[in-house]
Amino acid sequence: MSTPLSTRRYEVRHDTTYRYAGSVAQSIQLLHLEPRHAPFQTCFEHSLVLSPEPFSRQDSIDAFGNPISLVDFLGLQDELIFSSRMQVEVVVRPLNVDGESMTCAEVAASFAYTPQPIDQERLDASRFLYPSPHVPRDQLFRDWAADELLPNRPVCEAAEALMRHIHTDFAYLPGATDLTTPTREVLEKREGVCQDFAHVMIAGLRANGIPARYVSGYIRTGNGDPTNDAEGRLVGADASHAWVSVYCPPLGWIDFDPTNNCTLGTDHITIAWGRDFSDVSPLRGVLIGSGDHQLTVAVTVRPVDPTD
Amino acid sequence: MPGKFVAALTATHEHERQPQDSMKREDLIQHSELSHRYDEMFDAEGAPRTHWKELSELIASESRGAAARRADQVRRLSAESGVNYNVHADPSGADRPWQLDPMPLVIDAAEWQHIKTGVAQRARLLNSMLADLYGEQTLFVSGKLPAELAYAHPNFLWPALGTQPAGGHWLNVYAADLARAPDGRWWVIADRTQAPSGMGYALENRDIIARLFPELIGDLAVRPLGDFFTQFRDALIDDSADGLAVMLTSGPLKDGYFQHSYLARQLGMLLVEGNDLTVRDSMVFLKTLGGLKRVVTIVRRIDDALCDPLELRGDSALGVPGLMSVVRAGNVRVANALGSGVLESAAWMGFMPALAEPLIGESLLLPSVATWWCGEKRVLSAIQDNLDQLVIKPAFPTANFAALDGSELSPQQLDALRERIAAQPGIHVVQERVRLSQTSAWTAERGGGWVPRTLTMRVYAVATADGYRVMPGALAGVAANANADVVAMQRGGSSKDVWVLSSSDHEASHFRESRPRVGQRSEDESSRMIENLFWFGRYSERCEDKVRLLRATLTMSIDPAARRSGSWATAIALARQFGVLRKDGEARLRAAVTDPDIPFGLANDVANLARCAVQARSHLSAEQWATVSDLQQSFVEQRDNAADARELLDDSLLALAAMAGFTLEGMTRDEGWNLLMLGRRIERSVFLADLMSRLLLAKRGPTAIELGWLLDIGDSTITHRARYRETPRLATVFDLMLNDISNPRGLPFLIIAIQRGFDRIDDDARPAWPPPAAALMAQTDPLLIERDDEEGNAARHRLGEQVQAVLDGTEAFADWLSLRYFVHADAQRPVLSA
Repeated sequence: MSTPLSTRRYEVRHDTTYRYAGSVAQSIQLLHLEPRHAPFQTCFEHSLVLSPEPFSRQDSIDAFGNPISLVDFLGLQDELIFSSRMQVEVVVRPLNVDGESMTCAEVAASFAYTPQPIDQERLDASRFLYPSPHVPRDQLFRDWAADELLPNRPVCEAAEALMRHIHTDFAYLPGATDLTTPTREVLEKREGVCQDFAHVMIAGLRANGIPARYVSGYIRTGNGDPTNDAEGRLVGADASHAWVSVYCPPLGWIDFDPTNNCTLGTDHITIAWGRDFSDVSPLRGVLIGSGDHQLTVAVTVRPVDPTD
Repeated sequence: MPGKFVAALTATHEHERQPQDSMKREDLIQHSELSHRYDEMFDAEGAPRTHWKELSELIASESRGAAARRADQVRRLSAESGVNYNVHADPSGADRPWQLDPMPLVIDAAEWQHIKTGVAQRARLLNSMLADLYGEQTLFVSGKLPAELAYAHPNFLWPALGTQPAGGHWLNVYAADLARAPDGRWWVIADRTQAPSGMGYALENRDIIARLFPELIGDLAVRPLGDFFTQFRDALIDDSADGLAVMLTSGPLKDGYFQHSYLARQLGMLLVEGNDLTVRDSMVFLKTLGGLKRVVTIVRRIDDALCDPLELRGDSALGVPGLMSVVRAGNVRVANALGSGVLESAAWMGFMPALAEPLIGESLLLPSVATWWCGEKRVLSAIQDNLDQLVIKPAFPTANFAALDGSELSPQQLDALRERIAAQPGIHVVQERVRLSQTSAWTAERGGGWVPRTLTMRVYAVATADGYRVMPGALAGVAANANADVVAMQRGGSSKDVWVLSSSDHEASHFRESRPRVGQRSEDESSRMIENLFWFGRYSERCEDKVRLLRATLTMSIDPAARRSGSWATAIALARQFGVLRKDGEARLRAAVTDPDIPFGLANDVANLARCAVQARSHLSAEQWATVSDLQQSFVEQRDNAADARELLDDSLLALAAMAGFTLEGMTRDEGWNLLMLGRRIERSVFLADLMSRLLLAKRGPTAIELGWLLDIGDSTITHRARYRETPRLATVFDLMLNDISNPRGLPFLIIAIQRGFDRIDDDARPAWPPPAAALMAQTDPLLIERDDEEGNAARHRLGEQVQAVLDGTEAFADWLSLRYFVHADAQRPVLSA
């Protein structure tokens, strides 16, 4: 890996193409393609070009603070293209894993209900403490993660250990799973892709009482960076990427990438976060019509000189 | 803390000890030996309570036979009502309709006043809770409620966070399940905040029970239910608003469809399914014959998470993609608001008394059954030694365990339960065990009699401009056995009508049920419903045609001359071609009538007719419905009774003729009716043209017996006899069936009738009608086609071809209609991309 810089600037292209065999009467889509606001990154520009022009488009912010677009197409022929372009600058995060954090037991206990006022930060964190569509309630996750999430271990250290555990124990195997593979199956088979690893890690943390959220975004793979050698490339295969953010009071939220066994420097670009993939999937829609469709996704992350 | 907890439990248990019941009663009424339950009907001394006096005297004065007759009458009326209709029509099926008990539950005016005020108050409280949960969340911040109860609930809809319900209410319709404790007080045992079911049953129950006790219901001044539905309708439908009100159902194959259909009719709303609606530009529209029509109110009968596959559960095929965004834009009122199902958990109950004061400035009038959420630390420690006295329930509907009664568990099981609760306290709720009150219910066992049964009652409230209004009546449920403390109507229990007595004459000024007005306009009918009516028309006619075909063939079978002349073979071959007999083997006419294994047999078409009727239910009269449902029932019941096939055919013809009469005399002449009639006429034309062209195109001309058979099938025997006074000849039959425009069973009449229906459809793209061949038929020389020579045969075949061309033209027209006007419910598929 090249020397971490304190700031990096990227240009990202994310193109999604649907090709239809039959005719589509209506296609309505919810998009998470625009980077959210965060203290550690600045988005200089973002454009979303749709072809054909949609019948209607509304931009807003979802319940977790992510920008969303709702687009509606009528009477589609042949294909539909979503082209998202952005220029984002990422800075090194002020918080890191070496800071002093509460123990796992303390964090879990701090969320036990008492009829007392609760501060907003804890209330917000508790959104990411319970089961969600891809993270079901299952004792299996609790037992599996308990070896790393020891009660007296600082939560930050424990989360890092769990990340390492996944990286060592699970095989990165594109095609082994798809977007609907149950997380329990990923744990049983010990294989999958970034999305699966993120879900497994979140499930382990939540089952042990620690809030964890799913982050979607992009990663610098090096493919668009001619100065990088093959050795230093990060896994992510020029697609969108996913990792985990863990609530580590009093440090706050710290991100861990179990696919690459790293905490975050300036290699990751954050798009959105939520309880799991279902809250933040880049495109989620409903097709009304006959015939089959084909979907292709192309992502390019290119580091650019900030002075360009 | 634990001490107080146990003391609370002990206190309620002491209330249960009541004086031993020792009074004599009418033998017919068997009373419970158990004294720790409240008896609805009799006081502790065994005398009827004041408000039960008249009813109990009437029941006690009756013979066993009279009571049994009344019970039978109820069974018959509720089977006919259609609300209970079982789509699968399997008499032995597990999902047979639950029974309505003949004896109502009587509640006096003062007691009702308390229930009414309490239920309305609770609705206000729950509405305020929803507004806070999806708004500022001050209840979580202040610690008055645990956020976990919402955040871990699958019906807490994140996309609804920050939305404001159009119309101002989160909770438009609410139902409280009540039970009476041994001390006589009513307790709330469950809150229904999503899409409370059973309102239609309550109304239907009243209709039936009112017929059993016509005098008594007037003498007692029982409060009518109709006004409540008018208020409901007025509260939800803004007549001045530019848009429709619809009821969203999950479709005819799902439970509750009949009730939805019934309720929709009472409220004057269109009944629609998810893909009848479409979202455009932050508004919802209904797909109708006349194009898209704006929808401003949706009364939903489907669960929160299933309402929008785009933003909620992606695997839902029932919802409307994009509905959530319309809600966010404030452009549709959804009753109840999306997300209201989050309050359907027993876990909230324990917190509600403390919320009433801060949220609505009152203290709670109706207590909930004592409930504790195990996620609270102090509860967890308090219950350790009391689990055997409690009921343990899941806090969330997604939990993978059922409610448990601690008293039924062994010490080992209790230990395992303690461990399980400690591991995941937040998903467990404990409740005090409620000893339900009892009332008399009819049993057919041992010659029939009244037996004590435990009871719960569902009370409904709707939000109006003047606050929550409570239905003066309820849906009561009684358990299948005397001491059950869980009443589930699906598990063999039955329901009861609930009579609320008036406090003054004013309240009951009109005893007759006033029906809400029906406000829908026919041109707003959904394309799907129009299509259902078209097919209902086609199948009614198809059944009639096949009944006549089978009956005429049965008649022919006993004529020895038919066998000799070869006419019998012709008839059997044609009957096979029309699908009513098995393709090969012996004809076995009688067995074929009810044989469900013949793919295009009569039994299957009757089942298809019933299916269409199910889907067009909201447009059929009670009589039409009862006729179809009886017809289907008789085909199922007589499946193995070939001997009576002829009688079944005769009865079926009567039923089908009655249906045709209802259609002509009882239905409004709207677009739906027009399509229904077009369906009938098209079907009859196709059938007759098919049959006649086959006879005409045969190598030899039809025999007199075959012509008689044709007239019989065409229901024209009597007309023919009256007009021609001779044995059927090809010339006379041609004249009657293919030439005479006044015979409603003849092709020329049908062609004109189709033309009339067709003219009502305003469309430039319609195909030419009538088919040109129709005019050519009229030029036929009737004497020539009778001749058995080359010229005669050629003329007959020419006529056969013309009839066939009319058949092809009619089928092409039917195809055009369906392509042009009917929704071809396009597959709706979720797509995801990473």
